Amino acid sequence: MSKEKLELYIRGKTDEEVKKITGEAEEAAKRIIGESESKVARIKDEKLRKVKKEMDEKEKAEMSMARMEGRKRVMKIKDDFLRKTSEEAENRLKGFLSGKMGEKYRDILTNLAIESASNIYGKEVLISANKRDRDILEKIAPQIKNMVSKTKDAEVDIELDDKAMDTIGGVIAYSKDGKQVYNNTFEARLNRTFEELRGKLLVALFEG
Amino acid sequence: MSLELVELIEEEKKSEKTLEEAKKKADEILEGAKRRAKEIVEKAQKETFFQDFIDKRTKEIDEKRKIVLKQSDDDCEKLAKKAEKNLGKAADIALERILGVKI
Repeated sequence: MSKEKLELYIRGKTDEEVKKITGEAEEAAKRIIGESESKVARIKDEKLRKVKKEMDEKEKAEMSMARMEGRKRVMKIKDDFLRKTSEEAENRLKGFLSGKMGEKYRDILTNLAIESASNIYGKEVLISANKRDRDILEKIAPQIKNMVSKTKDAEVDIELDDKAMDTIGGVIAYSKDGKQVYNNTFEARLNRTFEELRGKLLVALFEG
Repeated sequence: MSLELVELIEEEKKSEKTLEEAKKKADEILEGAKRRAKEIVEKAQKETFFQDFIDKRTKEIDEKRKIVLKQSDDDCEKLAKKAEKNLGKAADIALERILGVKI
């Protein structure tokens, strides 16, 4: 082979080898970049799943809080109207008490006194009332005594407290030793009514 | 040594040098690719994706929350109207219990 041909052969082989080395390096580089892009896609998938989960949880929590807030608003309306009903009942009661005290009121007072005295264990009961009611009670004391004795099936001594109590009306019965108390004033009955009739009043207000 | 042989040896040396440079260049390509790959992954790890998605979902949730609250406000309004109408009746029930008789 001539020198020129040998030189051409060497150059050809060199070019071929250079192309091979460069080509392989470029292929490897492409693979490396491709792998990193796949990794990024996985990271994005993972982050998207995480973000979706976080947003779903946020939605659940926000909805739960909103429903709770809604229930609170409804409960507030109910409480507000129970309070308004209590105020209205108190106004009506005061209106009734400021009117003429007839026989009907005497019956009411009699019943309150009988109920409270009957709930005191023992044979001696002290009854307190305001000045107006005490005056009425003085007149009907024998009737109360009879009714209470009948209810308890024992002779009961009813005494009226000399001191007038500060109340809009009704009575408080005490045992002789003062250990037992039955508060049947209208204030106490008003409070008890709204504890005991809460359900019934809610139905009357909101379902009627 | 003949001149021709010397020239062939020279050609062979040139070839080796060219190959060495090619290998060096290949190494640089690989190093560059590794660097770039590392940058791509690091950027992805730092990047806040899906801000649009988050904004959209946040808006949706806010709308749903408003609907729930609006519903309860509507319920409250209906309840208040009904209670306003029935207040007197309820007060009568309470008063009857307090006094023990109807007045």
